[in-house]
Amino acid sequence: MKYFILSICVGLLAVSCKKEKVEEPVVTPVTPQLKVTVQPVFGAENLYIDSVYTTSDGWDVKFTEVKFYLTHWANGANELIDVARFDYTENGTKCFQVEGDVANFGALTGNIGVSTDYNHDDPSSDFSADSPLNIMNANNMHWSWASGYIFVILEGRSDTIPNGIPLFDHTFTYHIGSDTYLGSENFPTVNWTDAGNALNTAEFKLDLKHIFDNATNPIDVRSEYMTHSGGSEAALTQKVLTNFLEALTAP
Amino acid sequence: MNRLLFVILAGIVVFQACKKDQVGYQTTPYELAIPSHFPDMPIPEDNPMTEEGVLLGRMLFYEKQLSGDNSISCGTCHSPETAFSDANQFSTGIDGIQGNRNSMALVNLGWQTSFFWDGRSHTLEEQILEPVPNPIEMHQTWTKAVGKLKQDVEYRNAFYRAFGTVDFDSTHVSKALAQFLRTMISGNSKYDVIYKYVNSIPFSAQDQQVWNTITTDELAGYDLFQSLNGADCFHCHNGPLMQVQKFSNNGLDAVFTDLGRGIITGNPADNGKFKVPTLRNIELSAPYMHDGRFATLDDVIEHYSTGIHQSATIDPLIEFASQGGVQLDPDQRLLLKAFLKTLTDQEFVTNPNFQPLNP
Repeated sequence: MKYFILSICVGLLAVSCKKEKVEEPVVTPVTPQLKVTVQPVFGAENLYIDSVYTTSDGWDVKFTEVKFYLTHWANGANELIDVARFDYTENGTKCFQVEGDVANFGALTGNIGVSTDYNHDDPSSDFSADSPLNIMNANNMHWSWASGYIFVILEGRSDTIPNGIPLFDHTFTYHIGSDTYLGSENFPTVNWTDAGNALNTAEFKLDLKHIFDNATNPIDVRSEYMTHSGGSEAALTQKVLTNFLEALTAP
Repeated sequence: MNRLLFVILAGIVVFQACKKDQVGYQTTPYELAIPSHFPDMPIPEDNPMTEEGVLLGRMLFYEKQLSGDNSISCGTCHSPETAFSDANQFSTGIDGIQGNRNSMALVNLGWQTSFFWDGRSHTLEEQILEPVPNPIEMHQTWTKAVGKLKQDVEYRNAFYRAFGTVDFDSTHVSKALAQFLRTMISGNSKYDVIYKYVNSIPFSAQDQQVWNTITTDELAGYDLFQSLNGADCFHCHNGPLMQVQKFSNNGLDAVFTDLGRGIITGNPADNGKFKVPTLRNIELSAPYMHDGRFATLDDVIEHYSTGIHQSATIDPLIEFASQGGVQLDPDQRLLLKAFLKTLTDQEFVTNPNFQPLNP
């Protein structure tokens, strides 16, 4: 009888001491990642939203919004990214991060703006919730009335009265969109930086001084302060787009 | 002794063998009726939509026990009669105290990325936790509010059915209310048909019927609304939600008595900015603006037409601020108002599923 009781006790002890199965750690291979950032600058200094900068015309300007879309960035047959949305106010300098081998992207070409294969799709139902083109993410970068996206948004205030009083009572609004103004970039060389842990980064610069102070395409913010890419605004729209494309440079 | 020990051990063995798993509760997934031209609604992973949760949320929305003296509910200041807003400029709390901001209309909240006029809450669940303990609103601790609900067997059952617990707290109340509020979708107005037409989205038979009732004045008003040289409203009121998710200073004041978003961020560049609201059901949700200063749509149109005040943070998209506004003439104002009324969604405001369970 003693042995019977003892055996039951040992059995209970064994059951109570049963361990959860320990999972062996799984070693996953590190997937190489490529991260693109865009640092807005004004000449030699980093640009900050709502800070004051002076154009070569002597006008003080503040930017309140700096946003743009890029699509189909690739090096030949190797596509780096399909579509990304840059929003300096909301997301800082980060533009996108994707899986990719740095050896394949020593040069890049692509669009500034939304390519025609996407531009006229339904922003609610044709793109997944995590797509930059979904209306929830596009937010004010989609013109529902024009069935298309705003490719580039530059907005801010200016002070064009050189009296030393920072009034900033004028605004500038550059909204570039419609298929006509799809921009094209070509970066023959892109120098990536090894950030460790299989991550390589490329920090592009966007010199917003160049929007106004372009040698061949100067924009006087006092008189050229608004475009929504309408038919009567073609000249300024093209100037803003041209200057923007030149303002964006690869590392 | 051995026999006694044997009986005890045998009893333990039998008890162990007979121990049952806890009986589970069963919820029914709730299928949101999202209009075809709307994006998917993001639902928090920790608060999935269920029939039981939505029903409980609806009970709670009209539950006056959530207020300190059992006199007001959420539905008091967000009344179905006024498109789930308050007809008063400022709502009055249980102690007779008024706030300084107008109650926002509750509609399409599932797509919002910030809540309150100053955006101080980032989620619906977070927002819901505020009015109950707020001394100028329902003025009651959550402990007391939940304590009252726990006295009610109907609520105990409803919380168990929704969340599998009778030991519920403010978090469960918030989740249930959020589920109910996410069902309050408005996407069936004349404007929605205009939106589909403009964006080449196929019409249903019902859409075609609605389209046939849209007047030339309403369409002319829509053109004005979208026109850069007309009313120029579309920058901030756009898309299926009829709003963009941002904070804006729309030129109400040259000097701010309410700093709005600036209070939250501490950034002077945000002073005088408020959340851009939807214009859905705008005809029914007077008064207007964050402080309810405008009683009628005519007052609002007058503001944008000639009443804009310059200030350091005015939205650059108020493009005619330097001349005081967009300068609409009387005929244009009538057309614009005709269009604004196309945003009324009668199916939404009279939806029986949004009304009190026991009116």
